[in-house]
Amino acid sequence: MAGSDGSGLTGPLVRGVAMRSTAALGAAAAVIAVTAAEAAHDEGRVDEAGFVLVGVVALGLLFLAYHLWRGGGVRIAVSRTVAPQVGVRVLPVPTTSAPQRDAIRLDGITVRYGLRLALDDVSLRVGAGEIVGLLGPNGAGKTTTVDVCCGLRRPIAGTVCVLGHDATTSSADLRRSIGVVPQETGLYPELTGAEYMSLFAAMYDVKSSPARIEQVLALMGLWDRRNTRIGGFSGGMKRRLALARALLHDPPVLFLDEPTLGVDVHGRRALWDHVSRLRDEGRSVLLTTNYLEEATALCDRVVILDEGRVLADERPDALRRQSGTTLLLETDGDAQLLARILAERCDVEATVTDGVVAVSLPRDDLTAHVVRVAADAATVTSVRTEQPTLEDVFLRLTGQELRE
Amino acid sequence: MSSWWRAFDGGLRTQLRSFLRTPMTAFLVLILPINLLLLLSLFALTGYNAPTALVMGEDTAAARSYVEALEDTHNSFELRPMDLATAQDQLKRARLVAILEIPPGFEAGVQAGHTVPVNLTLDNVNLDMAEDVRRAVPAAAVIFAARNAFPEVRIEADLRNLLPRDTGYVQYLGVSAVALAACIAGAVLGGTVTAREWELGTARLSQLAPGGAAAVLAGRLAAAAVAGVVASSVTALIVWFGYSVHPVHPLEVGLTLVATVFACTMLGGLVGAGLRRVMPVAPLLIGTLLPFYLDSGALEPQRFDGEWLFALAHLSPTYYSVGVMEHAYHGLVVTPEPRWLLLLALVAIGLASLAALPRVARR
Repeated sequence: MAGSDGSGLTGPLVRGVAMRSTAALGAAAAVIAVTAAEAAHDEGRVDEAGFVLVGVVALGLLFLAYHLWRGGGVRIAVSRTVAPQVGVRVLPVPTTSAPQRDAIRLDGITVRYGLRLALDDVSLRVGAGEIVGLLGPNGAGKTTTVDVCCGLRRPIAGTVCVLGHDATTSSADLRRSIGVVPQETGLYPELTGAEYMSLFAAMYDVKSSPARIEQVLALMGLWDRRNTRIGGFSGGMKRRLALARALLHDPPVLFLDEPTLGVDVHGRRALWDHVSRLRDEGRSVLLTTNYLEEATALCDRVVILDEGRVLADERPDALRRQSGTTLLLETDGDAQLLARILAERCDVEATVTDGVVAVSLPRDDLTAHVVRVAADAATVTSVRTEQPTLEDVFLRLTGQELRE
Repeated sequence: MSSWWRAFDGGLRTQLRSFLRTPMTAFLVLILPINLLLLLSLFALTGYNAPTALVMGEDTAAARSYVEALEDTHNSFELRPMDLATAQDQLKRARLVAILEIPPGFEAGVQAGHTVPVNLTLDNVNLDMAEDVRRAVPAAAVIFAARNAFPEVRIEADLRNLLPRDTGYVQYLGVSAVALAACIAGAVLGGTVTAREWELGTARLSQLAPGGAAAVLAGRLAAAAVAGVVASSVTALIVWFGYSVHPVHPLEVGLTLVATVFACTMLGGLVGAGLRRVMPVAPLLIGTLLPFYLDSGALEPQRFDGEWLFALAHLSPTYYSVGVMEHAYHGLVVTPEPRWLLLLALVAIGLASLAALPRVARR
């Protein structure tokens, strides 16, 4: 008997056919009703109001028919495959297939924009509770990587998995599990912070949304400004609001695309604190940045991208160590002479710029030795170290200057 | 409430709030349809009362009878009595289309059975107006001759109107302008609302929501449609009370407005989602809808422009809207298709655009 075999297949099928049949009948009834009303009206048997009333009812029927037609198919799919909505609860990592350690996993991802390869065989991992930074110049493929992970862009090759979901299908489950802060923060300047959050609470079907909105706005230090229009927010506040919005549905995975772009130093530090807290809460974060300093401060690992290819995938301190530290020495004496002495005695590269001797240290443990030799050779008035910039790292990895 | 409806409701409320908080947008939304109505009214009015000087060489019964005959011809000029010098001055300054002179001795000449010249000096820079005056002078002569029972006149016009009353050009055009206003208001609003989603970067966020972008965009477009209906209703009321064109079927006017705005808002929304930038939305939509409007039977109900152009008109919602609107206001049937089919076509355009929106949004 249909639907009684316990498989759950026949029932939905019958229901779908029934709904679509009802929709077709509704549409047909609408057309027949209007045709009959038109004829009756032309013959003078129905007055104008009656004719229009029939028209309105027919439009309603058509709308209902359309909705049934669409709804019939959708409901069947939803009732069979979609898990209960999670509201503000953190989604556990699915265990449907093999044990899943990586929150985000990209394997051999290739994306092409016309003739240009935007991503060329990119592979990377982000573990549970890990913050990974995607570092690279503009056009390196950072945003494309984020788009692929979110299911906004389909790769021509490779696989991408986020919490066990195939991201290329961009399922509703995947979208519930991720929070995204894009480069353009996606804010409506005419809305207040609270109204903006309410809209996204509706879009994500967040349960107990007023309480949750208060919670995330307070977390980002914006609760007092909830009734201010977003157009009046500073750059840092806008970024914090975008982050609050991304956290609203409590996603276990976050994608932050240049989260501190256009934010002043103070605002940047505040945002870093918020992002660091995400790791403490056990969330996985993939963030893109142009700043090595930011990646160093926030990330457990840094992936350097250029022209769509992965150049390095290291811990920030390892990356910095590989690029070396620069020691800057100032002297009352002859700077050129001091540079020559250091190059000869310490086997390092030393150059002079504006009277300052810059010594490239291949290893951090050489610092004390170089300072000692310098102090013996000349009167050193100032010693300081300089961390490598993205430009330095990039130069080392590619042999080229960092493009804008 | 299902999650789809919650997202739809969120989009609707947010967009209505946006309209209310940006007074300039709300003002432009209201002013655009009214401007279109004024534009088309001016277009009609310029050809409606071509100023023509009447120089009376004599004030006799025959001369007055000829002027009466002139006024009774079907024309679109306005006779302004003045002296010859003033008339010539005004003609030079392009304030007149023509000077019509009834010469001295007109009555005596007519009574004597002579051929009497009626001088017509014409500024024929505008062929349309010039032809109107050219046609009227001999036509008036025929009417004059018939009324005075001249023996040579053997033909009398036997006029049979298809409709019980005439429909003025301004009145006809004003009604089609209501349809155009509804189309353009809806399309521009719909296009702007969706294109802005991409400009602000919010479209990406909508696409990432579990329900997808469609529910939010549909909510926003619904709000745009509400604003469009309000804006085009103002135009409809101006035609009703300002132009004194009382609709024969008032409810049908409302229904057509709603259906037209719905169709065009969704169509505009689709175009906006395709363009993804606000700036080109209005020029493209207005630039596209206007030629289709001219091809939609909006200027006159008769179609003498060939099958191709007539077929082409069916591509635009304006055609269907003008068809029902002329019936709603004047009781005119200006399309071969029945009204219910015209309304259905509008609804179908709206639904098809709405159905295509998610696909275009994902592009």
